[in-house]
Amino acid sequence: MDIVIQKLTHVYMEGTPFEQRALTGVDLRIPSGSFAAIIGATGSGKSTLIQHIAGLLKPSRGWLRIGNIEIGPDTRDSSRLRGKVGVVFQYPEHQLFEETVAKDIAFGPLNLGLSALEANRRVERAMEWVGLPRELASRSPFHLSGGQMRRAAVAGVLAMEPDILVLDEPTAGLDPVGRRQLLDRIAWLRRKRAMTVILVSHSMEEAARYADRLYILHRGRKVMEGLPADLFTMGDRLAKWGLEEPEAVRLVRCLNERLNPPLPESLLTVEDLEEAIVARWEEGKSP
Amino acid sequence: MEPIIQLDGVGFRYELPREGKSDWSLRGIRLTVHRGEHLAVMGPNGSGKSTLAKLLNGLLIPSEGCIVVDGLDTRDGKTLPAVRRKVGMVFQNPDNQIVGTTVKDDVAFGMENAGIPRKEMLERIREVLDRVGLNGLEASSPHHLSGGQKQRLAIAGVLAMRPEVVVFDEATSMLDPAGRKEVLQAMEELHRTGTTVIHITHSVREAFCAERVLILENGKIQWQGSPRELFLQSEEVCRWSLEVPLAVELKNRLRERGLPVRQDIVGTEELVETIWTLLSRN
Amino acid sequence: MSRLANPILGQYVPGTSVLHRLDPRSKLVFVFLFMMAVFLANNVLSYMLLVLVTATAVFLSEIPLPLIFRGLKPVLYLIGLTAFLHLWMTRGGDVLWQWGPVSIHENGIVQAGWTSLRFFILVLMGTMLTLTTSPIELTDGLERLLSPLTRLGVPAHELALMMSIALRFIPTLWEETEKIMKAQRARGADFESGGLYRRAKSYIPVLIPLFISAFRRAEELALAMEARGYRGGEGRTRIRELRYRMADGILLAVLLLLVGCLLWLRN
Repeated sequence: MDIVIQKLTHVYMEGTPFEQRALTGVDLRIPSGSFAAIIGATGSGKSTLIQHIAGLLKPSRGWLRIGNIEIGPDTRDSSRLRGKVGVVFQYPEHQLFEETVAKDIAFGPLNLGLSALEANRRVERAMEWVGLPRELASRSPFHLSGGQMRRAAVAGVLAMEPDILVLDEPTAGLDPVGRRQLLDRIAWLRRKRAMTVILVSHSMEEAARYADRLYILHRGRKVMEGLPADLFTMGDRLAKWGLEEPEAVRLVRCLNERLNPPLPESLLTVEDLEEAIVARWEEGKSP
Repeated sequence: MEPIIQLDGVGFRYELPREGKSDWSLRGIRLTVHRGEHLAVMGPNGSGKSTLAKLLNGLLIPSEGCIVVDGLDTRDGKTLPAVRRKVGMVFQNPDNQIVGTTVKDDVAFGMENAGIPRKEMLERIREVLDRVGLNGLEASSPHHLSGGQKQRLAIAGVLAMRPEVVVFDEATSMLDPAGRKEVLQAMEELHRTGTTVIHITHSVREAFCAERVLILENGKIQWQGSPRELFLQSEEVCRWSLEVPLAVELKNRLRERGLPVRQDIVGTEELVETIWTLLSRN
Repeated sequence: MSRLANPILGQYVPGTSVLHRLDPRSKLVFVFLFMMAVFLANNVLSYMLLVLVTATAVFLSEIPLPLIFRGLKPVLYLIGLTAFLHLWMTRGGDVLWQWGPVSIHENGIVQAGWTSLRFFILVLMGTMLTLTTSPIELTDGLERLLSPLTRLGVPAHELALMMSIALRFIPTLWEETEKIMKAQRARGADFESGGLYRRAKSYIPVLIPLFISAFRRAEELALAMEARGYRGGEGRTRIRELRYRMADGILLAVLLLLVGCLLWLRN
């Protein structure tokens, strides 16, 4: 399911004194199966954009197409997207409400009209995907630890088995280990289920580590789209959009100021760096 | 160095109405915070960091041992208002610590409680809003502020009380990078002007700005030292599930692969220098 | 970005008119006594006087008429409905129109007219108060007016603090409601279709998280207030200052004059 967005403009409360333009003429295309990261400073329109993809907002102008479903300003019923696009909002544990973890995770599947049996199967599967032990199923979600609550909430979205998974700052408030675990799971599941994943993040390190396509928003406009290795090495332009380079990129740049021949700029993670440096060192050792 | 807060054999556990006493959240804490110091407190969730913060200004009273703030024992109920004036707190959730319906009202809240005359309040409000860079927003409603601005408002409210110590209880963890930077700058300014700063945080990058780092685990002080010393013990750092700066992680990885990289490198510049020497030599 | 926060925050329209600058206490007292005085009127002249005073208030507020009437719309329907009922239900005087058992009497028209007018004046004056006084000023005014009753056990300070905290958190909680609704809608929740029962039930996944978060906020706020040295109303000073000015005196004079005239005109 490709996502195609054409000239998308969104204005909140149009025609009132409180009118606020959130997106202006956004064109973009997210190929099916990609791990896309949407990055931009606060107020750049990221959240408005993903709410369109989730079918929670309609464009003021322009349109978007997800698979074969097209949504424009006059679309009446955007509920056709339900079940196809899953969204994990910021601090998703704040939406837990059921008596047990299993019931909460089953909420989405049951809303899709699935049978209790099938919903149950999906609950089990989703819990396994996020790595929640089975015995937690009958516990109250409010008695879980913070990290477990987050995983239960993510499972509630995954249980709908969406083709497209949108994650809005999924790791906010987690400790470093929890962050890595959650995104590793998502990346693994994406390959397993051939999902499209759209990650909205303030963390350039996360975008660099997981995404294969990058979309940069700035003040409601899409200013750049491309491969992480190309976009993250743009230096000053990133700063102009209120973004920072990943740490690895900064380190490579410092190194390349003196190193001849320089290391490739496209090293985005610590693993990339390690391999490149070790390779160069061994090369020099055994000429 | 003159001590400002002293904890002697401090332990804390909650008294639950039905189940009796809970397990110890903190036990055997002995710690001296010096006047003007910048101290970072780190540790995994549930290690007792927040309990420690709440003990420092008498929001919680130690179950054993005692805490003395600038000569005042927090167990003495009569001195509590004075203790709370001396030790200001900035909490994690920016929304849930703003009481006033406007910026000005909120800065005034603490001063109103302390019975400070109106004329002086107005002067102090002007002064502290200037210090945190929120002047001109006096009449704004808090919910129109950004996360970083909200936290700076909370800092202003604390500063108006002319505190000796400001405790930041994970005050940056819910902010975006821009907001984080704003709060860290404010923190830095406080430290520069002689206020004691205690920063409870998850982020190693933030703790790096401190002079001393304290690591809590299971309610005990596991380690303390300078940020630099901390990263020399990288296995420990991993055990406490702290985030390691890229330079330190890369150094460890390179050493494991057998590259002759010195153990005591912690900064990016030193590492760049070392790698450059290594790769250019051959 | 809370799109619906505005109507909920009351109807206050910021401004600098004479009415805006009046002390909230005098406005509260005036509106309260004015509403009682309206019931003294029982002839054309006294009603004309009331209309004149109300119109002056509207004029002095410097708030555009369309803005005032937009807020009054639901009330106008209500007034229309009462007038309609009076028209059909009141007997007496000449019969002006009859069709089978249904008839309109002369008194019906008179009653419908006066009641609607009285109702309208009451609501308009009340609206003028909320349009020119911010909720927080109202709270302040109420607190000071009630403070003499503290000795009788009325917790004036606590009530006012509660109100101002409510005002402070309404936009926050409203935003939160929108957020939770979106999250549940993305999980397939449907808030629009079905009968009343089903629709009410569909809000459970919104209300439970909302309550949980409200309680958490309350707990954290209480802690933050304690950390900032809050110990109740005793010994507190105030940053907000209320001061009676010349205009407040004039308002009082107008009120006395009005009541005097109404009593004199009464027959």
